[in-house]
Amino acid sequence: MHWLRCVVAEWQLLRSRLVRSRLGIWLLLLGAAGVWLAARGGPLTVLAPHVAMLGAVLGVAFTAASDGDRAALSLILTHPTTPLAVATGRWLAALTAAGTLVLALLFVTGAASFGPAGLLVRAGAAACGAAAAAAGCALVAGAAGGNVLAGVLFLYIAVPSVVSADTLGAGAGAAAGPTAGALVLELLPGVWRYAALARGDLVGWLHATCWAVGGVAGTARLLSRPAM
Amino acid sequence: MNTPVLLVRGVTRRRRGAAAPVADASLELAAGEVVALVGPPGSGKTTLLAITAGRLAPDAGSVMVAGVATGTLAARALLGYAPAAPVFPPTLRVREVLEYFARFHVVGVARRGLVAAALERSGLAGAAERRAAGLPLPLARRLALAQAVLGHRRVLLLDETLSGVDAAGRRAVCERVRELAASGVAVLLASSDLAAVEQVAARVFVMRDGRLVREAPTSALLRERVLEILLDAPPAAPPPGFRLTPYGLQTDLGPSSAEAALALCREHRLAVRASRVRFRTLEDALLDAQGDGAR
Repeated sequence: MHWLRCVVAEWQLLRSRLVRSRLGIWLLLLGAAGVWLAARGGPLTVLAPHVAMLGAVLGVAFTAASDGDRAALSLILTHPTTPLAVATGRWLAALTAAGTLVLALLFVTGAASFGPAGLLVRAGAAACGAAAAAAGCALVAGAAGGNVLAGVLFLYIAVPSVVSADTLGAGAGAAAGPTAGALVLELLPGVWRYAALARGDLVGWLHATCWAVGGVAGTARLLSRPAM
Repeated sequence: MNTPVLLVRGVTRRRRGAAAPVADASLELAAGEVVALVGPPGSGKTTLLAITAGRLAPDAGSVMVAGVATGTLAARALLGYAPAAPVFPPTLRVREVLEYFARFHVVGVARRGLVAAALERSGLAGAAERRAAGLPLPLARRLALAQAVLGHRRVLLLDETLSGVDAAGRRAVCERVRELAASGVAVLLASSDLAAVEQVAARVFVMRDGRLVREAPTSALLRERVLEILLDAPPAAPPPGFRLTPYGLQTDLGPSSAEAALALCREHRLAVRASRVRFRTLEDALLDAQGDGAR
């Protein structure tokens, strides 16, 4: 119970970030862009995970990875909470931000009849899985390198992660650069992989689970190092 | 001394990054005791407090809080830490900062009462709706003290909490520290404000170059008498037991009388223009510990 209370304490930070930082505005803009793309025929099973992943990274950037948040950890960890509770609570906060964004996106697209109900459910589930993975990855990046690394991850998810590793590998031949690129695309959370979550792709779900669990555990490990 | 509630044994940490080194530091605090760490900047006070709080790992030695190793969950429930430059979670207001930290200690209605009491006792009730990140340093240090006290803490580590505040603020913080000590909380405070230390600390440790070079009850330090002598011309070398000062000589009187010390000066054919006896201050003790070079 105590551990859960500590997780909830971290999760509740999201509320103040939504109304008192630019997180709320960024999420609104992201949601509006998603609706605009959906209205122009963008496939929801790709769009929803993409928007959710970007929302999750933004959530981490505004609740965990900023300089202020990282500096405050030194004081927070003098209280009877644990690095794992801190990491879990902030992962949950980012997931909530992304989940709310996706819900709004699906509600608007559903109301505007851009897709059937079954598609909305599958797109929503895929978006949740993708957001969980992206939040885990962004937490590790944020804990290790702050918002600089989180920003790099945001840009990676926004553009290159749409390309599949197979596509890059096929066009690369034996060149080392594209091979490394394909490896990055294989390993990091990417839109190309999580778009398949809506079809029930088992490898994709496993990949997302590994990033969600590993991200939280890795972040807890990084946070448990002495802060000064 | 009662059973120590804080036990620091042979703590050593080499210089790493910005943190000053600490060498073989040992100290004990009993419940309800207020002990001060004084020393020049860079002497290792903050490092020692951070190690004691479990925020820095020592290379050698151990810290126990009520029989529990520091840094563990149980120890963190018993030990509160108010850093010199506190950073609170961004975007939160003062009340919200306390509510956030209080969640780690108590639940439900008790938490609301705890936060209200913390705001009241720390003198932050008027600033409860201000953003914590924008607080001036004295208020931020009060908030740091308020969060350190939350829960059932038995040991408090205060880093410069008494420094940089105005006279009224200092009095309020000193009273709060005394109140906490009266309730059985052991307080270890590092401070460059020696006047405040004189008011609240029962014992003083002097730190220099990472070492605890002197320990004494504050009352004993302040009871010692000092004879200051103004000379017409400074001597080449001071008489035995005297120190050279920019204006003449100075000596700790101890059990001997001022007349005896002045007679010694006359024996050395020193032209005494004036003399006065005063009580030692903590500043004297600190400068003594730093060596003659600091004078």
